[in-house]
Amino acid sequence: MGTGVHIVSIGARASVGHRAHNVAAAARSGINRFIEHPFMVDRYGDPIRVGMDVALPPEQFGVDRMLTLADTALAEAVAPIRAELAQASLVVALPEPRPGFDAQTARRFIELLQRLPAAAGIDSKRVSWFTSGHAGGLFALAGAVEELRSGRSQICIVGGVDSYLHPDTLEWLDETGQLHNLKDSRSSFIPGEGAAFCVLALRRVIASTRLPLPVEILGTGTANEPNRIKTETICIGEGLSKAVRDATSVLELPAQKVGTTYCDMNGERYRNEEFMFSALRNYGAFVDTNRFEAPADSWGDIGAASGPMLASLATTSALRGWAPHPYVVLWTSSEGGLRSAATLGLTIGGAPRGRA
Amino acid sequence: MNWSSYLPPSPPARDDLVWDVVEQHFDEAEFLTQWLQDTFEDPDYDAKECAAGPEARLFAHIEGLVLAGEACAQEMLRPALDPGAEPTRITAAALALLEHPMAAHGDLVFEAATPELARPIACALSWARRPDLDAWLQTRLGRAEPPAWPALLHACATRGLDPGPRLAEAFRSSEAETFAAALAAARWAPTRDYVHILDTLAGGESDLAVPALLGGLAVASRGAWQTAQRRAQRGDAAGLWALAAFGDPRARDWLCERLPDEAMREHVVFALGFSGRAQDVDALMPWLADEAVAKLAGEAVANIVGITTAQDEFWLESKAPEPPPPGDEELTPLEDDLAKPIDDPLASLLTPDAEVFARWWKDNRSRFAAGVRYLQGRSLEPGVALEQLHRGTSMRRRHWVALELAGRTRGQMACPTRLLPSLQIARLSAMPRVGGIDMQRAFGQWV
Repeated sequence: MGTGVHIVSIGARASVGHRAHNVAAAARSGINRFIEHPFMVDRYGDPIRVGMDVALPPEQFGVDRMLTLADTALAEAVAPIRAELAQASLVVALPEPRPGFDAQTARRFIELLQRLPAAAGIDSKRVSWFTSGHAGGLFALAGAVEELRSGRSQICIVGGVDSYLHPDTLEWLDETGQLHNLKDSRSSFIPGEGAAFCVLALRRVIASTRLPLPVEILGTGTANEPNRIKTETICIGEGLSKAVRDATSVLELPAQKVGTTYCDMNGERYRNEEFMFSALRNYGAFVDTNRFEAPADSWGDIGAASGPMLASLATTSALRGWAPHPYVVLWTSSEGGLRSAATLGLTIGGAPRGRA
Repeated sequence: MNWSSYLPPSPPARDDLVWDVVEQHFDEAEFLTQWLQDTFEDPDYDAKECAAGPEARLFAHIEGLVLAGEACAQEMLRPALDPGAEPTRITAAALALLEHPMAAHGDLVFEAATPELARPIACALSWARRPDLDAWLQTRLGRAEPPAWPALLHACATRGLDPGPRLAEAFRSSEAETFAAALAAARWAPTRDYVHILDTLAGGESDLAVPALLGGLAVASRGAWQTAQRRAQRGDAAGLWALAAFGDPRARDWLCERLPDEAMREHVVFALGFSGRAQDVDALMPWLADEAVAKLAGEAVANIVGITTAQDEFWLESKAPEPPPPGDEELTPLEDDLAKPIDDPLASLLTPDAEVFARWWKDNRSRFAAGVRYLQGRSLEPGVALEQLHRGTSMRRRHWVALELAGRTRGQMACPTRLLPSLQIARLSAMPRVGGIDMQRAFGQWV
């Protein structure tokens, strides 16, 4: 069972912390950092509530802002394997095209990302990206697993970067009714920002680093949801159900039931209902399908950064010994219909992985 | 490889920290320290609930402080070990420093164990979870100067740890705090060398008499038992409880006969909940409708027969209509709220519906054999007591259940009930079962 691919190191930055472990500790203890945007107001003239990284200037947005987020997280993730970076590939999940972020922005972001000190040593020919939003990170993770298993890469760095804190993006969210407000929003979210990176490798490749390898990627699943959000169709969770089913199909049930789920649910009703259908269809793989963590409670919706951020939370929980169960599912959903999930096997605090 | 103390290869530097988040970890840890302290007398929590609730929340924030690294330790935690700080803040800071993998921070906590900081430091040393803490504490106590003894001895007492040779020296101290700490720790010494001190003090009238009495009972001291009987005669709460836990049927009957005595009633009602016989329930039933002691009587009867607070039909509060939620204009200002004293934990005891209790008792009395002691509806034996220490019996009552179990096993099945609940549960799970213990018998029949 399992892919043999391990999470070797992690890096993360969000409004509640600038290191992966600090981010995880804040989310675990229920701390959030939602503030009123210093100058952006919604359609009612009220300040927009955001999960803003207050270390960054509020007037900074777009590529510059995302680069700062990415720099911190990437530098942290690659620090333990800096000597190996020449053999690493890098894939970055970016937001879906939307007001404030388009294909040209994505290209420019990637171009500048490669010039960051954190990325020094990574072969530019081995850098790729795609603009698939929330589910992009776990989708990239699935691709990285194949890449590593096939031997095409020795090390894969999978990341996600997003910032909704762009004036055009915030206005767009307000127009579509997705922006949380205190007046009339019933299916909305608090926009956030963040970046996370995970370094992946096969155990035998990375053994010489003597880094702890607490997380193995056991399975992945990707699917497309035909009944997307903001359409007239009715979502009955087909895409997410398939992604989760595929990701968990490697588990030997009932002994290896999933005890913890990390997901990118953000408060939108569509997302809750989608999860409900998926939970009903896949309940057999879970100790309790209602036992899930939605860390958007701490930092808002962080879009394309979600998947690697969730993987980072699970990895920290294993390293620090607070993970309650050895089997974990991550799942994410994009507006464009992409759904992706991953099942992780955790070695908690160094103890052998047992039953859920 | 054990990673439980694993820290990231590049711990956060000062500028990497989101300081207001770190401060929130600290503030919340301080608040939860107070909450956890309060739950040790709370009728609403049992040990498992306490471990999963306030304890888990406290340590999630402590973890946040540990992971904030050296800058947090130097700039926020170490300066908080100051006599001018709130005791709960000192405890939270000390806990985080003790959990830090760098031993130098933990050493600082031991060095801070001065008389001014004795209580909050003792609390942190009592709750620290690191596996090497017991050995560390014993070593440091062995080397410590006298001013540090009270905190370290109290920590040994709370952790149920043998204080070692320092105990004898502490008993010779002229410092009242040191002597009191030695008294608290004495029951955990592996020998009975200190029982005579406990007995002597228990027989006196000082503030130390009750702690000494309870310490003596925990190690099945005859002297303590004799003192307890004398104290019971004059209505002393600890003496009355001892009579209920260790007395013979005549002593229990005597307790029931004391109920009309208004001066004694409250303590007698509490004690009868541990006596546990059907006759005791009979005696308590009329008091379920007495405004002054109804809540205590309800708790006592429920504890004997196994009625829980989740059984709504038995409790008047469950039947009262929900008050309407306050409007914004009616909310108490935060400052006023904070200025209020913390509620008496007993205030959260529920009021029994005397008629429902009476009907239930009429229908169920035949299930309870005459003269047999019950705990939560089950005939009292060590296994049942042990189970109830895990789950079921409230935090406020389990001190007494544990004390009786310790006494009846001469300290072999002793649970330190002010230790961190998760650590208690681990100890209870590993506790060896002592055979041949009959909790139905009176003191003279088994010692």
